[in-house]
Amino acid sequence: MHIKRFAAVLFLIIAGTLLATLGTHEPGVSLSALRLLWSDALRDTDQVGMQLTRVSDAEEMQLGREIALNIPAVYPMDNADSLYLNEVGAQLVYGVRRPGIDYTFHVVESPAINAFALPGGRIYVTSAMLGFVDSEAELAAILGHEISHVDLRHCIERYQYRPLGAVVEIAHAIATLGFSQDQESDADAQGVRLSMQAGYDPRAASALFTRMGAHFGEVARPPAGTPQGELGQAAISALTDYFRSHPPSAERAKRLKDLVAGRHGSFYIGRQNLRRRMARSRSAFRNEWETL
Amino acid sequence: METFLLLVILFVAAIRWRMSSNRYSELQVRIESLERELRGMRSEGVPANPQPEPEIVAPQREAYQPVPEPLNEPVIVPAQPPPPPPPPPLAPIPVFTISTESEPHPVAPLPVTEKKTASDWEALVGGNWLNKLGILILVIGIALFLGYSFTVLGPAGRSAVALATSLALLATGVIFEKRESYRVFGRGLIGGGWSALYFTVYAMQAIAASKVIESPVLGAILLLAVAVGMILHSLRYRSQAVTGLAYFVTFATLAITPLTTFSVIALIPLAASLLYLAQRFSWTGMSVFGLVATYGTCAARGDSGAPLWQTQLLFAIYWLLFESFDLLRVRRRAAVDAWQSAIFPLNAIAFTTLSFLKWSAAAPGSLHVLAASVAAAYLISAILRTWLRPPSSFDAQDQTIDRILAGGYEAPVTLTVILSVLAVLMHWRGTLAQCGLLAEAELLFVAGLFFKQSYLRNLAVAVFGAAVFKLLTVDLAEMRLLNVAGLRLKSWTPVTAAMAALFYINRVLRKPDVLYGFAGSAAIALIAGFETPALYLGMSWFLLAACLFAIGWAARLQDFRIQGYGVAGLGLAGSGVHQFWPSLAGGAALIYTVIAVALRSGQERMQDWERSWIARIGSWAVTGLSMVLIWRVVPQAYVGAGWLALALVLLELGLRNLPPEFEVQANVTFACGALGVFFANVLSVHNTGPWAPRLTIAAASVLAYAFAVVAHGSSLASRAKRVVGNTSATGTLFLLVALWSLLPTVAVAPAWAASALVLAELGFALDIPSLRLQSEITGGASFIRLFFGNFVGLGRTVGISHRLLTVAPVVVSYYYQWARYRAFDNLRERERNFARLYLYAAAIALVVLLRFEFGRVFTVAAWAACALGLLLAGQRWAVPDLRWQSYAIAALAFFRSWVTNFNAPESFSGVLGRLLAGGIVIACFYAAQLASPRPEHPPDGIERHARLFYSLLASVLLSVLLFHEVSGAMLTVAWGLEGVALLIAGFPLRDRILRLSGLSLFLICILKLFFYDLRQLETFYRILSFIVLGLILVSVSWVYTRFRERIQRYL
Repeated sequence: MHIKRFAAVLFLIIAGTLLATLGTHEPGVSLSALRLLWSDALRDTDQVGMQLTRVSDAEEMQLGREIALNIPAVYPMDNADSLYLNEVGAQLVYGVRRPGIDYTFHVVESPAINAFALPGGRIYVTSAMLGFVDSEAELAAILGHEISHVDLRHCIERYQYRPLGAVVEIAHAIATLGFSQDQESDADAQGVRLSMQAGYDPRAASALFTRMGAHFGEVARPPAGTPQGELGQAAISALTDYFRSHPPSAERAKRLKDLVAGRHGSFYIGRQNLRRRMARSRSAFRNEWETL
Repeated sequence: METFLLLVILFVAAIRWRMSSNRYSELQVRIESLERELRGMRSEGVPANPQPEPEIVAPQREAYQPVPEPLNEPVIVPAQPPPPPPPPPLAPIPVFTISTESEPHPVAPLPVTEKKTASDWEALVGGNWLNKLGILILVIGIALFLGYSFTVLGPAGRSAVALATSLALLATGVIFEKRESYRVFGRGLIGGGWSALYFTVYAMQAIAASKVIESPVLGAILLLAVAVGMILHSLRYRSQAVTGLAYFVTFATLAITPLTTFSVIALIPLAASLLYLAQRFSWTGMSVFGLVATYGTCAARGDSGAPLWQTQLLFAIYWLLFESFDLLRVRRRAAVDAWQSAIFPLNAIAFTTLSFLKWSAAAPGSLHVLAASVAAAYLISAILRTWLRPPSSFDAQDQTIDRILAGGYEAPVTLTVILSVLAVLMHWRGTLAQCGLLAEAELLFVAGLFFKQSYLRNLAVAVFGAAVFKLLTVDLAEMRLLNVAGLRLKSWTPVTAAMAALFYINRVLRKPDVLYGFAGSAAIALIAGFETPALYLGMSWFLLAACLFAIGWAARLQDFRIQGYGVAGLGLAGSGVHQFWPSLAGGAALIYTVIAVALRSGQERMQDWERSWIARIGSWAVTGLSMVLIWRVVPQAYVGAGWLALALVLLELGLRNLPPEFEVQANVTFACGALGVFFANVLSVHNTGPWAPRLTIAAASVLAYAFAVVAHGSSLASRAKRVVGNTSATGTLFLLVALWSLLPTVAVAPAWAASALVLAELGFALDIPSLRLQSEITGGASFIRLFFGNFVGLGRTVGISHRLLTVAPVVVSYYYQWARYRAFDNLRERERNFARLYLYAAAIALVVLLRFEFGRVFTVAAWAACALGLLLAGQRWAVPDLRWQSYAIAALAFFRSWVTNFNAPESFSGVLGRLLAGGIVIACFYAAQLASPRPEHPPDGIERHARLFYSLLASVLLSVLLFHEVSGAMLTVAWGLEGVALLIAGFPLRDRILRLSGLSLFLICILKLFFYDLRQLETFYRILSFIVLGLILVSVSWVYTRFRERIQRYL
C-alpha cells in the first residue's frame, strides 16, 4: 500500500516540478521570503504598540505644524508651484481613509529628486522632482504615495513613542527598518489607487519608477552561479534589503505594473497640464485621455 | 725568555697537579685497603665496638710513631674503649714521586674515616705544596734578581751570582735530603737548584744582559750537560715523573737551541735513551711523553730546508724507534695499557703528518709515493705483528678494539689500506682510480676469505664503500661519454658494471654476504637510472625489479626478491616523478603480477610474512600507481570520478581476496576520489554553462552509490555498515549538488525532497539507518531551500503559481515521510523524535505557502482554514502535534487579523475582501470550536480548554471586526446584536461558551454605554444605543424567563 502512496507522492513532486519549470521565473535565489516573514512579524507586533499609543488626527496635525516650522530654514519654498500642487493634490484626498486630516502640498527648492510627508498631512515635493515627472498623472502618483504615508499612519507612527523617551524612539526606529520597505510598497499601492480613483493613468507610477531606476543607475545583481555564491548573495542581499528604506525602483515598478494589470477605463495623463502648471480640475485637455 | 719561563712554570704546575692527583688516588686506595683489612680483623675476632660513636679528638702524635711528616691535622680515633694497639710505622710518603714498584709502602692499619681523608689533604697542602711553592717563588726571585742586576752588574757578574745561587740550592738540597726530617724540603731545594742552574746556563748564552758564552755549540753542550745531569740525578729516585721532568728540560733545550741539525740528530739518542728507560722501568707514560717530545721538538724546529731524503730518513728513524718499541711490547704480550696503546697511533699520526708536510713542500707531485711507501711500511709492520701476535693467539671473544690495543695486525693493515687508497686516488683519476680501488677491495676480500679474517673482509667492504662513494660523489658528475660497442655510455658505466659484477661474484663466493648482492643490484639500478631516457626510467627499473624478483623467486633467494622490491620502489618513484603513463600502467601490472604470484606461491618458496607484506605494500603501490595513472590520463575535471570508479574496481577485487587489502585501499581511494570531486567539481560547480562538469558530479554520485551497494552486499560487519553509510552519504551529497546544478532554481527543493523520499524508502526497505539519516538531512535541506527559491519571485503555469506547484508536493512529501516513520516499527528513539519534525516542517512550509499564496488580506483566512484542518486531522488520527499546530496557527491568524489584517491597505478598497477574510477566519474558529471535544468528554491536560480557546478567538475577532466595520455610533448596537446571535446559537448547540460569550458582550455593551457612549456619542446615537441595547437585554431576559424549562434542557 505504501508503495502506491510513495509513487503518488513522487509523481506529485515530479509533476508539479515539471509544470513549474515550464513557466518563467527568476533564475536567482534570495532570502526575500524570510525577510518578508520577518517584516510581517515586526509589523504585527509593532501594531500592538501603535494602537496603544495612537494619537488623534488633531494631535497629529498639531505635531505636523510644529515640525513644518523648521522646513523653510532648510528648503526655500516655491509658492507659485505650490498652488498648482495643491490643485492636483486636492483631487486625490477624496479616497483617503482618514478624512479628518487636512492635506497641504508644498514645493521646496532643492536639486534632489525627492518628495516627503510630515504627520498631519503636509506633503513636500522638491523642485527637482517636479521637473523630473513627465505628466500630471506621474505627479499624482507621487502625491498619492505621500498622502498614503500619512493616511496609513506611517508618518505619525515614527513619533508615537516620543513621549516614552529617546531610547524607546530610537529602538522603535531601528525595528521599523525591517518593514519600512513594506510601508513604501503599501504607500505605492495605496497611492496608485488614490490617483486612479482621481482618474489619473495608473501606469504612470510604474513608468515613473522605471525612469527613476535608470536615472539613479540602479543595476540588478546577476544571479550567482555557485552554491557558495548563492548563499553569500542571499545573505548579503537580505542584510542590505533589511537596512534599505526603499525597495529597488525596478521592483516597485514591476509590482505597480502587476497591481494595475487588467484595469480598464479611461484615464487622464496631463502632460500639458504639468507644463502649464494648470491642474486638470481647472482645465482638462481632450487629447490627454487614454483608454485602457 | 719570559714565555719560556712561563711555560716551564705551567709545566711544573701541571706535573705537580698530576702527582697530587695520583697521590690522592693512592691515598684513597690505601684507605679502602685499610678499611677492608680492618673489617677482616674484626671478623677474625677483634670485636667491633660500634658504641659509642667515634668522636673527633685532638691529634695524638704518639699513636703514629715514627712520624714521617709533621701532621697537624686532627685525627679521628674511637674515644671508647681504649684505642687499639698502635699501628706499625707509616712509611714515608714521597713528596716528589708517584708510587713505584721500587718503593713499596708498608700499609698501616689506620682508623680511617672521611675526616681522615680531609686531614691527608691538609697535610699534603701544608707539608708539601707550600714547600714547592716556596721553591718556585725563590726561582722566580732569582729571575727577578737577574733582571735587577741589569743595572748593577755586568753579564759575567750576573751569571756568576746566578750560578752560585743555583749550586748553593743544589748543595743545600742534597745535604737536607739525607736527613729524614728535612727530606721533602731538601728535594724541593734540589729541584729548584737544577732549575736555577739550567736557566742560568741558558741565560749565559741566550740573554744579552748575562751573555758570556758566544759559541752556540758550547752553549748547547753545556745545556745538554745540565740536562743530562738532571736525568742522571733523577734516576736516583726511580720516579717516572722526576725523570720525565728532567727529560722534558732536555727536550726543551733541544727545542730552544739555534742549532737545528744538532737538535734533530740529538733527538735520536735522547729518544732512544728515554725508550730504554721506559722499557727498563716500564714507564709507559714516559715513552708517550718521549714520542710527543721527539716529534714535537722536531716540529717546533720547522723545515730547515734539508734535502728530502735526509729529513725523511730522520723521520723514518724516529718512526722505527717508536715502532720497534711498540713491537717489543707486542712481543712481550704485556697487558693492555692506555699509555702503551697510544704509542702506535701517535707514532703513525706524527710520522705521517711530518712526512706529509715535508713532502708537500719538497715533492708535492710525489705524495702518492710517500703514501705507498708508508703503506708498505705498515704492511710490513702488520706482517711482523701477525708473526709476533698471530690472530689465533687472541681469545675468540676478544673484540677488534681489544686486539688493536694489544698490538694486533688490524691497526697497521688498516693504515696500509687507507694509505694505499690515498695513493691510488692521488696517482690516478676516473676509471683507473676506480679500477684500483676495486682491485684493492677485491684483493682484501679474497685475502679475507683465504685467511678467514673477517676484519680483512670488512676492510674490503670499506674500500668498496669508498669506491661507491667516489662513484656517487665524483664520477656521476662526469659528463664524458664512451663509445662501447656502438653504444654511447657514460664514462663510469663500464667500471660500474664491472663493480656490479664483482659484487655479484662476491655474493656467490660467500653466501652470507648478501650485502654484495644488494650493492650489485644497486649498481645496476644506478646504471639503468642514468642510461635510460627519463621517460622510460620507471619502466626500466620495474623491469630490473621483475628480473630480480624472478631470480629470487626461481632460485628461492630471498635477498634477490627483496632487492626486487627495493628496485620496484625506485620504479615507483621514477614513474611518480615522470608520470609516463606506460610506466605507470606497466608498473601497476607488474606489481599486481608479483602480488598474484606471491598469493599462489607455496610456503617452501615464500614465507607468510613476505607474502603478507607483498600483498600489503604491493597493493598500495598498485593503488597508488593506478591513481596517478588516472590523474595523468584523465582530464582534471574527471579525475575524482575516475578515482571513484577505481575504488569500485578495487573493492570488487578486495572482496574477492585478490588480495583482501584492496578493500581498505578501495575505501581510501574512494575518499580521495570523493575529495577530488568535491574540490575539483563541487566547489567550482556552476548551474549555468557546460553540462559536462555538472554531469560529472551526477556520475560521481552514481559511482558512490554503486560503491555503497557493493559494500553493502559484502558483509554485515559494523565496518561495512559504516562504509555503506559514509559512501552513500557521499553519493547523496553529490546527488544534491548535481540536482542543484542541473535543475532550474524552482525545481531544486522539490528534487531534493524527492531524493529524501527515495532515500527514506531505501532506508526502510534495507533497514539502513544511515540512509534514513541522509533522508532526514536531505529533507531538511529541501525545507531550507524552499525559503531561498520557492516562495517569492516566481511565475505561473496554466494559472497555477510555481510556488504552489513546487511547495505543496514537498509539504505532502513531508507528511508522507512522517506517516512512513510512524508506521515503521524498527525505529531508533532519535528517529522517532525526528519524525515529528516532518510534521512541523510541513506545517511551517504550509503556513508560509499560504502567506505568499493568498496575499496580505486572505492569508489569515487560509491560516484559519489550515488550523481547522489540522485540528480535524489531529483528532482523526489522534496526533497531538497536529492539534498543537492548529492552536498555534489559529492564534497566529487571530493576532494578525486583529492587529494588522483589518488595517491592511489591500483591504481598504472593498468591504467584501475585508469581511470575507474576517468572516472566513471567524467561521473557521467557530467550526473548530464545534469540532473540539465537548466539556462532557474533555481531553487530558490543557487541551480540554481547546473549545473555549477557539470560541474566544472567534467571538473576540468578530467583535473586533464589528469595531472596524461599524465604528462610531452603531458599535454598541452591533455588539449587542452579536451577543444575541451568540446566545441564540448557544442554545441549540448546547454550547455554554457561546452563551456566556453573548452575555459577556452584553456586559461590555452596558459598560461602553455608560462610560463612552453617554459622553462621546451624539444624542441620537446615544439614545439609539441605549434603546437597542435595552431591548436586547430585555428580550434575552424574557427568553430566559419564558422558556426556562425548555432552555434548561439545552443547558
